[in-house]
Amino acid sequence: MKILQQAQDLISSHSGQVDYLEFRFENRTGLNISVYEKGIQGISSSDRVGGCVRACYRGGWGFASFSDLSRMKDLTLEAIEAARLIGHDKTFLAEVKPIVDQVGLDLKEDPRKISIDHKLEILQNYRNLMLSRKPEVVQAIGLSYKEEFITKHFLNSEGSLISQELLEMGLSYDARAVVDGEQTFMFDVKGSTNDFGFIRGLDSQVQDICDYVALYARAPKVRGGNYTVVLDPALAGVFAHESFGHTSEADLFAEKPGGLDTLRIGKRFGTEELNIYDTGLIPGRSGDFLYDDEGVQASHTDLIKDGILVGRMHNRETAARLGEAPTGNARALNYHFPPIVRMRNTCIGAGNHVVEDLFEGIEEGVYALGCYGGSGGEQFSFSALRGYMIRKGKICEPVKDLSLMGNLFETLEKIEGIGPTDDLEMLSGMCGKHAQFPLAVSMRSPHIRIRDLTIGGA
Amino acid sequence: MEYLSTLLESESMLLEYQKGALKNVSVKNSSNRVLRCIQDGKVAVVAGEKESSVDHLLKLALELVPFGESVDYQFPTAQIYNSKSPPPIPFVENLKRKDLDEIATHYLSIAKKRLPGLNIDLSIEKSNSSLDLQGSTGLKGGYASSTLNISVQVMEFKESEIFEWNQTLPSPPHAQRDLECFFEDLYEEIEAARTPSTSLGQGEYPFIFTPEILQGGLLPSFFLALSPTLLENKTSPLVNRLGEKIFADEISFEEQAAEIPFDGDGLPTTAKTIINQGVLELFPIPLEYSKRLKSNPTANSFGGFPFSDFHFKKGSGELKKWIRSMSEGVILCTSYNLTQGNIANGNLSGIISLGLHIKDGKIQGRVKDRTCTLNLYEALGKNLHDISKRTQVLGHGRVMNLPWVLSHGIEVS
Repeated sequence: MKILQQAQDLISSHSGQVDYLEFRFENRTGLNISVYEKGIQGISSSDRVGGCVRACYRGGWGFASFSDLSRMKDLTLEAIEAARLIGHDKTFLAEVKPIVDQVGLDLKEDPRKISIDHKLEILQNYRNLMLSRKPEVVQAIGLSYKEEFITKHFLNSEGSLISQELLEMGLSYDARAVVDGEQTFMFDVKGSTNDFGFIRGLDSQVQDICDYVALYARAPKVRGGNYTVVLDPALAGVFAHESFGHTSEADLFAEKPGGLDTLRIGKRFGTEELNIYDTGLIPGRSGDFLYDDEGVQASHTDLIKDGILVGRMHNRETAARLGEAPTGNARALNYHFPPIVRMRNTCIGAGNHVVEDLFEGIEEGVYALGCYGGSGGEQFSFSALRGYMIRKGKICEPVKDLSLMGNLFETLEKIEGIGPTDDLEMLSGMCGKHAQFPLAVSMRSPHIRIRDLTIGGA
Repeated sequence: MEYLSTLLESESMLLEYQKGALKNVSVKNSSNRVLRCIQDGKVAVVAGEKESSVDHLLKLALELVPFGESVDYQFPTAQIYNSKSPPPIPFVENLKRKDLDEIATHYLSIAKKRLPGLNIDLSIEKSNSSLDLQGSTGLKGGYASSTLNISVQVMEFKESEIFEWNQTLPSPPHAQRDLECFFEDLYEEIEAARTPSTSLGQGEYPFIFTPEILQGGLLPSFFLALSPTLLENKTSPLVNRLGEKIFADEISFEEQAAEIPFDGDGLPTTAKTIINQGVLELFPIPLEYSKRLKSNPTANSFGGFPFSDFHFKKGSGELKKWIRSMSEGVILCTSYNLTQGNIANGNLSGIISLGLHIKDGKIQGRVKDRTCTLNLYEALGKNLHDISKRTQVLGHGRVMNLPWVLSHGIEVS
């Protein structure tokens, strides 16, 4: 590509002025199709190209992004000038061996080989299934498919030159019901990064959404209070991501007063059964990539092992500052942003309880399933899509409007049981940090049981 | 075949400071062209950068449109909009990198004296943007704006405790005085919040909602209920409630259409009343929904927040008097979670992320590990106690002008 050669020339001619210089270029082509109860709701496509440059000099960073590729040279000079102007310290960048590589897509079923007609037919079939199952109170249904092909090129002054092809696909489906003037909403999301086939075989799941929304439209709101709660894998995965995951992103705490004490390696954060890790090595899931946006190879990063803090997520700068190895967690939403420390696939490892045991001995508790959304940090909160009361260890009547809240450090100590390997489930999601939203991530967890968790409700 | 194309271009500069020193400088050159094409009663949308010419996008759209949604509208016919830009802000327009650095350095140095030992990260961003509209039906128009945004983040860790405070300059400053007011309020709030967390028991309390929490926490559920999609499928709680009282008498909302000349469909924006003394007077109807909802389009096609601007009528209350007369209550500044659930009914529940505990007429400190639960229509209805005389303009371009609101009976757990 001509633009890569131009960037290479700029590196050759200007890298002597700074400690580090890198370029990223992207081409993104996308397709979105939506259907609703009356037919096709919308179809759109996108085709975007752009690039960015980042320079570091004595710890100061200059960054410039450009939709207009002809601006590359003047904005490169501006980024270098900015870095030189502000850098007065020392450049911290963990050492990474230069990599020259081209990574193509390894697809089981390629969505480019599927016509728009056929994609529409799949969606319309699901729509018809939902309509055929639609109970009386269900007012609206919707399905939305999206795909985005991303070609990324990365080159830096250390000799790396990486081209990577990536794909994100997703299907969301939802239903809304109204009872006594009050609306209830239910949805689910499926996704894949390597197989269009993920969209097939969902007949019962799309119909279940209609049944669930009808059920929960008539369900009472949960009574607010503190309960022993069993989280299903989807909600437990979000808990791992929102609460501990964000807190383990080194750029959030490494430079903050007291941060390294609070998140001291070797400190206990939960029972021996608790293992949390972040990985870029689960093929087919969002967050699966070979190289991050600093050209660092993806890895498996243990965060909590047997209840003890053993690691954190890094970009090259935070890794060097803390004297630790880079973890391949530097991700940028797109070329308009510099890479920051982000999660990939954040997981709670399997425990040693069978799922049925997690309900045992609960006099009055709540079984919370699915997730509307959540946010975290020291204080976290998630909204569950569905819930059931647990009475005397049995799953009983459905309850709705569950907001689960707590303090991260206290809640990790309150985890009483974690489900087994065959209970592990994946969930796709979108993550936001600073202005960079939405970034595709995924989560995996079995069921977990937490005592004394606050539930906001009626 | 007819089409409507919008091109949004912007140039911005961002300076980020960590531990009191400039750490990053970012420059962004971005463009986003979106083209909507109607042919044979069907519509498709394509997007790209400025380099993607109208002809190129049109070619892509024509390939897609046979699969598109059936529509029963056409784009507005020839209209040339004079460039009715938002009023220029001379204070912002001419700021260069050196000026941004001087502003940031000045206030960081004051913060260092006022809040010793506290680590403050600050970012300051100036951007110029322009939007151009072009339609095959003869539509043509555009507007431009300059904005300045400042964000401050404080974060410190103590053993198993994180103190975090985030604040953003609500709207572009028109003078140095606006910046001084913002930072003065900020220093005061952080000072108050740094004091040891106070114990706020479970129960019902009066809450003072700041303009920021109205914008980001409470009003989004009202805007969602106004969504034409929810109105069409009759899942909005406001369906069939036009002309009914949904809020207290003191509540009036209006769109003044003072700065943005046209909406996303190219229709001219107009001033209108949304809520008048608690009564719902208007549904914002985009062009594409007008026939389906059997209503005239109201030039409110913006996606998400449906208005070109939004003004919440001020009251006569005074924040300081509310605090002085309060035996116990909360000033709610931020709750990250209020909008995360099924909020269309107005039922909101979230962590008090940034909140100040008031007791015996004084701010005692930061609320910690507490959540609040409320219903929007009750908080601005039977539980509304007062609305402030002072208002604050929030946002850049499509602004919201909002007061502080005092409501009783907000549940804390």
